[in-house]
Amino acid sequence: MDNCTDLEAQLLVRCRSFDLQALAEVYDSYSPALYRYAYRLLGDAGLAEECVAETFRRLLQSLRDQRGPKSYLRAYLYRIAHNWITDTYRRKKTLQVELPESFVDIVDSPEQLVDQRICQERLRRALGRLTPDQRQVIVLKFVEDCDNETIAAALNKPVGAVKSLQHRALRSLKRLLDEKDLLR
Amino acid sequence: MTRNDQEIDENLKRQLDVLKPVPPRDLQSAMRGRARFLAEAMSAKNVSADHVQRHIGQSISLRKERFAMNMLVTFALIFALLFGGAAGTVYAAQDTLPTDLLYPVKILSEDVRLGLAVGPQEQAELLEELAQTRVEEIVKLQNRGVESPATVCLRLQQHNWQILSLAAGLDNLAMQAMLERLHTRLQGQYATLNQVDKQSPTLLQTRETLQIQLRLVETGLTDPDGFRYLVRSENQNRIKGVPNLTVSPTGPGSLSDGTPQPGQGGYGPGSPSDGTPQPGQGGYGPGSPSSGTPQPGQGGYGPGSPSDGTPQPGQGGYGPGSPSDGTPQPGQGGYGPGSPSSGTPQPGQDGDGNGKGGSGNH
Repeated sequence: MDNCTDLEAQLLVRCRSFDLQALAEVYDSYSPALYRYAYRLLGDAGLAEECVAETFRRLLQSLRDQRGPKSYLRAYLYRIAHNWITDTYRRKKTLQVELPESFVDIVDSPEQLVDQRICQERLRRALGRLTPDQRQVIVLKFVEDCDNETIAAALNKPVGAVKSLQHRALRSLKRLLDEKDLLR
Repeated sequence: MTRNDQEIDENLKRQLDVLKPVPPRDLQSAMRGRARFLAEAMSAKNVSADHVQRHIGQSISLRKERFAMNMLVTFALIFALLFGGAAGTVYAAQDTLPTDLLYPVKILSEDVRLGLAVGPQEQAELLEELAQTRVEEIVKLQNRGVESPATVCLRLQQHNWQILSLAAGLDNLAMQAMLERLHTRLQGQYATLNQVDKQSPTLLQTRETLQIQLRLVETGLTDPDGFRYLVRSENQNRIKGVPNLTVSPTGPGSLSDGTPQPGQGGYGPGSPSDGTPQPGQGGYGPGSPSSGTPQPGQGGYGPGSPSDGTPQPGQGGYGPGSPSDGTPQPGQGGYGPGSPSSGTPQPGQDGDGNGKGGSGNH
């Protein structure tokens, strides 16, 4: 166990006894990254905040029930967040390409904003059609820049399996992004 | 891995980079989330280990029921903390500093008070009071030799900005009265922070933002329509996640997520280390053409003269700047919409998610 996970493990011991200082430390350390992760997959600040809140609520629930992680806290939180996001994907199946109201008045290039928005939505739509494991491995590896050990812990799989999964996920994503009617 | 696979990887990696820019997290939402989490943790702490042990192994439905009950307890606790039964806790929290455990309770209670304030006058008075509280917190922390967290400085700037926004929505007479009072307050805040710690980068940036706000107030007193234009433009930029009139403090405690935003606008001399705006980071004020280093208090608003890129103090006009590039150059202070490519918060979209992941813990 490296120093980082060792520190995490010590922090978790304090969290299990509901040391508020330790819990605050956990929240401050991990909520910004979880917010970014959720925002990247959902594209909505409100939903991202909801995801962060629900993730930490479930962490508390698991600590209260004397379950939850004993190490790899970061990976564990990513897993909870990812499950919540997967459920949200299921609930909202329609793609709504809308522009915010504030868009009407802005004076800079709307074309560029729309292009960027379409690229992001194509990616989100393609990611949404991967399996949850494939989606998670892609985002953790290439967007969040996590190492294979963290991804393996988040997916609860051996590192070798994660590498194979990553290979299959990249191929699937490439195929999906080549589809012309992805946004329909 | 074959060469073809590697090419797929590289190409996809580039495409996935599109997802990386994330607009800055809303400070108030983040603080509220933290306060709720800690309140819920406090209520969970009160559940005895024995009580928990008895329930292990019981049915899922019972777990759900208990969780629902605990949620009720949590909300009751938050309600009690804010409104009644445990008024003593809220009262005690009022004297806390950002380093204290109960500080989130104080912030939450302030948010509730703000939510309950009726009308712009009452809201502005409360915001003035809260801004003064932030200044006092900074001073107390500095007296203890503790660097003020960036979140406190951001909140101070936010309180003042909210007053500016309220003023912009009033008629000229009421607006001038509110701005005159804010002018005095801002001068007081600046003078106080100027005496605390001249070296702290966070406070340096906060003072710079106070100067910007002072200049905005002065504009409002002489040119109400120009002031409204500036405030409206800035509010639009904030909605897009690209505020121009704020110098964001950085460092420990900052809720900014550190994600670089392409072409993100900004204000001020740039890095406190050299005070030099970099291309793509936006600038404010005329800067010195010889050094490219704007000096606080010398700037005017606006893109400056496009002919030579060297606005003179007091000559800048406010306006949208050039939408074509949005990239102020050193010494060319620009106030405008920021770069069109800047990260823009978008309504949530998603795919159709055909995966098999479930919710909860595994």
